Amino acid sequence: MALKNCILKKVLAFILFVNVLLVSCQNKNTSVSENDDADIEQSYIANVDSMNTLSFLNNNNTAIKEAMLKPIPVLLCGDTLNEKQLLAQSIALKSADFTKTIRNPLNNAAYRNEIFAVYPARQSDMGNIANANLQNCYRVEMYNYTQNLTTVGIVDVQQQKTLTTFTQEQAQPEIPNYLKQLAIKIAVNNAEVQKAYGVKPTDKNALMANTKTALNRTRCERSRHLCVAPTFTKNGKALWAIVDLTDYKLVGVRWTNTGTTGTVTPITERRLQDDKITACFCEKETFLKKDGWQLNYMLTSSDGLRVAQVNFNNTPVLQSAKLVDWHVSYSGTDGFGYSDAVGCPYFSQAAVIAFETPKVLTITADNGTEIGFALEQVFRSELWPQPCNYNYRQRFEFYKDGSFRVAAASIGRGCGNDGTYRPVFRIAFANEQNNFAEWNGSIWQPWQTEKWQLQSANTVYTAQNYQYKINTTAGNGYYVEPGKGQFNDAGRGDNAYVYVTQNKPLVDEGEADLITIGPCCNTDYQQGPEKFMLPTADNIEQKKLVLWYVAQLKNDNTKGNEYCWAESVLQNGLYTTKAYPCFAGPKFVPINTNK
Amino acid sequence: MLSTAKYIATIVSLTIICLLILQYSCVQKSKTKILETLITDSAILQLQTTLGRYLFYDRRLSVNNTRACGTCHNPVFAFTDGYKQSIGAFADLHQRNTAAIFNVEHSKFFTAADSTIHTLQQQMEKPLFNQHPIEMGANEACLKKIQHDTLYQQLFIKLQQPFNFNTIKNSIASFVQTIHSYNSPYDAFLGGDKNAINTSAKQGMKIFFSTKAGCFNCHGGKNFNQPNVINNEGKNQYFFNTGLYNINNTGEYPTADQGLYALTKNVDDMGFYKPPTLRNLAFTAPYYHNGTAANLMDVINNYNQAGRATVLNQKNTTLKNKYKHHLIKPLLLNENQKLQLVNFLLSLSDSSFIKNPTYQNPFLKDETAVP
Repeated sequence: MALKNCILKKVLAFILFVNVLLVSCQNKNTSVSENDDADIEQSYIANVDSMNTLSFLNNNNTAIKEAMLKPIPVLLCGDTLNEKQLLAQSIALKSADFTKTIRNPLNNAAYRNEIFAVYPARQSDMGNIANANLQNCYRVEMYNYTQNLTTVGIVDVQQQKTLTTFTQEQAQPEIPNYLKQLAIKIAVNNAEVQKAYGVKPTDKNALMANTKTALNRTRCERSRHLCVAPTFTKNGKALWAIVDLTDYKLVGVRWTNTGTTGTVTPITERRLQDDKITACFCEKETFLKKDGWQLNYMLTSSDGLRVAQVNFNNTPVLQSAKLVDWHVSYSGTDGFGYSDAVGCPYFSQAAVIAFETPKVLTITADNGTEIGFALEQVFRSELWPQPCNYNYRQRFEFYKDGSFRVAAASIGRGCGNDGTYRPVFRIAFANEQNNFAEWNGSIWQPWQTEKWQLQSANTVYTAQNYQYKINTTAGNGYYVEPGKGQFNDAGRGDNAYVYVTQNKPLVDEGEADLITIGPCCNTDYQQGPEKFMLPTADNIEQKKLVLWYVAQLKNDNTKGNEYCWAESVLQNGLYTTKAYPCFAGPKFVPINTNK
Repeated sequence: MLSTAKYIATIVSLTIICLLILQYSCVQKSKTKILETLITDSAILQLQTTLGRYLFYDRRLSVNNTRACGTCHNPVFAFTDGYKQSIGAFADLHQRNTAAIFNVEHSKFFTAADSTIHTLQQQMEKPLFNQHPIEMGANEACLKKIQHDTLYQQLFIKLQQPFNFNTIKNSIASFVQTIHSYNSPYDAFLGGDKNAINTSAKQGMKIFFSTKAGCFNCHGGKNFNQPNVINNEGKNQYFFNTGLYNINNTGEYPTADQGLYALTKNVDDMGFYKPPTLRNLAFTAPYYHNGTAANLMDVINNYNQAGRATVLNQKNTTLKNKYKHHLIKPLLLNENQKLQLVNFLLSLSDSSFIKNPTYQNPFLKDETAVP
């Protein structure tokens, strides 16, 4: 009996041991990265038949399936197009270059593709294209759901040809209007959303429904699926209904706290001057000559205000500079927020659009002396400062001493009182042969290849606050002075990721208008510019360079400490808006004036 | 007669030998049994830890499937979440900034300002069940959501434990107790690698441990959170007022959070909080009990001037808070010294810890998705 017990105990112990091993192995398996492209592709293909079966989606599901059976498996644009736009769409689809990613090259299986938009091309879309009449050109954007990549073609309808094509992996175009409406419909008809909100929200309640989002531990994580978040505000909170537009499903609801102070609806004073803005600043460049500076500026479709061909005292300084994205994150753990774009009012689904025409402002020193000028552009949602409405300000400062600054600010109010704003600047230098170096506390340490670096608490600066320098072999060039709260604009420091990439002459890596290049909510260096360092980091010595600058700004609604925030306050019996901008962006100081 | 004596002697000898053999056998059996028990205990502990790890990251334990312990205690941020104050399942603000949870075996207290909470299980009551504000909002319905989960069923059966919130808390505590972080550059430096921290950090270390700055008085011990301060009554002091507020020059803190005073109602405890660990500060911003310091330099600046001069408090009366501890006095550090101190503090951050696979979320798929 005792022997039996002994054996039994040993057997049980062994079983337990094996179980522990199994559980341990299971843990190892479950820690495997989800980021497996093959798995995603496979799972997507399997999902075509299991997409949401709500009756209002029947037509969409049928259209997708039918499109995938066609010789060119592309679902045509769901928004209304005029004749020229339809023509541009069909020309693009005849281009081998434009359609090279629509099928699996190994077995010719159709991917799910869809034309998202056909916009009249802007100067900013043309990149290196010469000898084309802008009036005849259109920008055709196609999204490949299966591979999560975007193809953009610039089409000349008069020449009946696609002038150029570029493809961007892990990137999504702006959302067409019909998909925005579909997302709202999926959200308001979802029982989980209705339960969380208390009642069935109406379509009109939905805010930010055309802005891309993400959500960790779902297919929306790191924007691997196309996802948006119609957002519904209520009692100082915002309910996010996160909708996967790849699967046509609600993947989750989340709440954010929007703060309760100063949420009075502003008196409607609609000042959107869409026609004037479009005609004067979206369709053509404006030349500006002032204080020794010469430059062209224009509003882009989704890269904010762009300056180009910037010269100081007839010396080329910048090829261009612009604001590519705003990444707005409301949770480091759940990873949701918005990938915002700012741009022109028309023919753009940018969520936050130019609200006024660009302004040229004088910059004065404390003693009143005029020391330079600023070119400033306001982008905002109409109901700002209401919750889930946004206001961004972009500013280029040019000084008489040859220094300049590329800056932007969020002025809230956004969908949460504990969000992080990450503006993505692209600054392309004009000089053909640049070198880049960082200050290591004792010497300027050159960078040999493309790389990134985070400005942090232990970053060292020169006595003048310079962290980097970009110069030519002749010794000319600029020191780079990142924001540390020293610019007297209420900025509290940029905490920026800085990337330096080679500006390759034959490859467009962002000179033309860029779609949103990064997901909303990555908390690390993966904000988008790192894609231009792949597959290998190129040499950047004696090369034409692009500096990408991604500041990180945490908003705050704490009384007395407001930042990236706005609220309505009662003053003399009237509600007025009080704004707390968080400006960020580097200043560039000429090397030869600081010897 | 002799043969009888020999016979008896032989019998006695044999008996003694038998007894010795039996004794040896018993000792061996006993040793084997102890070993078996140890193996079993170790296996049970491992199972409990595994169960706890899943439960720690399971959002079904919240009322609306949106929050788990791991939502606010995210390994990426050294088991904090980056918020000034976290928000609950319905976006209600928590009272405080999320505390980092690692190396908890050395902790005497488990919240920022409650001297009655000494165990993780006690601490968990608040995030799980608190109603004002609702944090996770756990209830019996949450148990029902997970009780049919095959994995949990198997683990609970193997553990031979009942399926209830007590065992859930024990299992989560078991997992949390395995979370360790002792692999920072400073640890390597202490281990003999003199180049593990740079010159600036070494200078910062000197400042930290200097009598003049005295940082180590409150931030002592292996985790830099053990005070070594004796109060007026000759007892160890664990909670301190560092002069963050001084409303209307009364010494008061904002009513939303007045530290230990909220528990004891003793005005001498106004604004008293326990010193947090200084490990992994690189990942745990913002700082202070309510997240009101965005970066380390803000914190150092406050200590350097012996209290915080807030925007709301232009006259800097905070510096004269009557409840502020006498050890909080101006440090008179210059900019370089402050940077050195920051560099030393950052050298206490363990980047391998935040990536340690055994601490990560074990769910491969969305656990809240209906199968």
